[in-house]
Amino acid sequence: MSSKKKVITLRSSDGEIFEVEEAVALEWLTIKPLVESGCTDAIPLPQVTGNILAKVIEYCKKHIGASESEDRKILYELESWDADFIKVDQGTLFDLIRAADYLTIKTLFEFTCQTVADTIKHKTIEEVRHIFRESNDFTPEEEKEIRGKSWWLQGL
Amino acid sequence: MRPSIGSLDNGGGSAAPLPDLPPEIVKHILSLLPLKYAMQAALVAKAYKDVWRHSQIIEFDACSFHSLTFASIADIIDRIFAMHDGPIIKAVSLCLLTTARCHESEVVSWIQKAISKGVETLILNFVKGAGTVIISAEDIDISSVRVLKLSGCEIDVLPRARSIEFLKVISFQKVRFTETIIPTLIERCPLLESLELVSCKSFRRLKIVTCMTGRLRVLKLMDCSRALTIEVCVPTLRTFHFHGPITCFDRVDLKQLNDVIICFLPPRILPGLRNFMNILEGLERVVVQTISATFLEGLFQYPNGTMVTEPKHLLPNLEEVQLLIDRGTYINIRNIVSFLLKCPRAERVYIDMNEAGNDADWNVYQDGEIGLLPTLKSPRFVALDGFVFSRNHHAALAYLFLLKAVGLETLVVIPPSSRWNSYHTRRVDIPQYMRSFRYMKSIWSKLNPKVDIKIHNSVTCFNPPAHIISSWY
Repeated sequence: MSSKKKVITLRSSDGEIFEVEEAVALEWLTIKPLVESGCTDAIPLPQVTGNILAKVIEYCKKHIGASESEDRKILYELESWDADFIKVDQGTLFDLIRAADYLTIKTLFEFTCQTVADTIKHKTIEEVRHIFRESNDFTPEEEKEIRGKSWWLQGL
Repeated sequence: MRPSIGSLDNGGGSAAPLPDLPPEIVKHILSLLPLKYAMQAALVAKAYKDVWRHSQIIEFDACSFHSLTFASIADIIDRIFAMHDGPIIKAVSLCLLTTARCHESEVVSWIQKAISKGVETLILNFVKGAGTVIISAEDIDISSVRVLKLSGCEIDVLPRARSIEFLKVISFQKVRFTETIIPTLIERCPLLESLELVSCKSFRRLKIVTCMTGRLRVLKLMDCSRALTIEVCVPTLRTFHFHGPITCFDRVDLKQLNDVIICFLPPRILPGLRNFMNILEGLERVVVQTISATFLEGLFQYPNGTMVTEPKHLLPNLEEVQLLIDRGTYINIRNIVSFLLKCPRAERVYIDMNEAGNDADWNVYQDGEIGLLPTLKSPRFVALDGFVFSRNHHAALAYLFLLKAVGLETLVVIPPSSRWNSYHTRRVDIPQYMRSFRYMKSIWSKLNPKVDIKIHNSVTCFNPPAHIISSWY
């Protein structure tokens, strides 16, 4: 069957070196062409710090193959593993989103974004602004207009 | 944590030590919110004013707009779909109040719009039960849909096989269909994993038979009260929920199951013990089970009888049991004990007395008699839902577990909830209930000081059961 598993070397922005199996790295569309071209040098990832890269690798290792599993027990286990994995502070969560976006890891990107969406669902506008570090740039008139326009949405 | 959180400029050359999420990603996150929340997010900042137009989850509940006519509602939904300019709609959930059957064209146009954006979950609820025959339209291609939930409508013809071959979840509630529809669906949907029929009363016979290579794992049949016979032979089935009369339980193969709800309604005459034993014998792999008191009644209907000759451990793998006590059932504490003795691993026991009201026929035990019952080794966690301190039989249950469950660690008492509206019209006086609880706790603690006695206001608060049954629809 398969010979010795090929290993890809990655270097984080702070110079840490990581080794991942080729199968994991192939899921990262940004570096996929490099991996496929048979690059043997350490691939530099200047936008991802070591501690975030470690988490990203942890997630992808856990998920490779498991997501397609038919076994309900495995899927259930994966779900609770995910729930534990994502118990991080907001800064880390945003870093993970950025890393998943930069490396184009679709599953991790969707999962982290959905996590943020779920947390902001019941937050007030003020709280959502705070989370995304946005400030209210509407004039009172504009705000009133938007609220007025969406009268039929309030009951949705 | 981040060093500073505030309204920092998010410009490219910002000196902030940690860059924020780029607006495109924030927009993406907001588009994952259901429509209503995405619309509210318009007020966050100008950049997100139109983010709802990319919302991937379109939910619309016309029940919030009682005063509007269907035409105005249709106009609103039309506008939502017309203004939506995101590339993807993942889910559409429409709850409509139409009573007329003439709105098919509108509904079809919304479905088509959603399908053109790859909708995977389609939920249509016609609250007044006057839904048109939407998915039967031969020319509708719903091949992007994986989850289809319909309520309050009618189906006579199914779409072409190629249009529905990717369906994974089907749920019909109050849907009228002919007897041939279900077998045809099973045949045309090879990827089907879950089938749920709730309050579908148009069929008399139901036959669900699949082969070894099928994917069907979950089958829920609730309140299909006109069914006379139900035949189920699905080798891949793992979860089976049934609520209805035992009389229609014809040939149901339960051998592979690990999660079961079997709630037989109290009939006038119980069928023979064999029927119950046959069902129980098929359940040896079950880990989580919910049953109704009628099931127990049937099982132990002959006092000191046949049960003795049956295998000692009928449900060797059962870890969690939930007992629902229906209105009008006869309930004997000895039966509960006998049943739990058959389940050597049942650590979590939930007894739901909310629906019993006043008219469940309890065989009331005196404290002395409870002392004579055998010891229960398995229960470690017991929750008594719908507990009323003034009712003797409720107190007797608490005594039973405190005295007889030697491994008991936690006993939770939950006041009656108003979820079964007809039986608990009066709200529980919580301060009064708390006083009763504190008083009883002081007595109970003396009976068994090892047990942690708790009170919770809902069964979902603490260590909830695997089956949370909010109502029988």
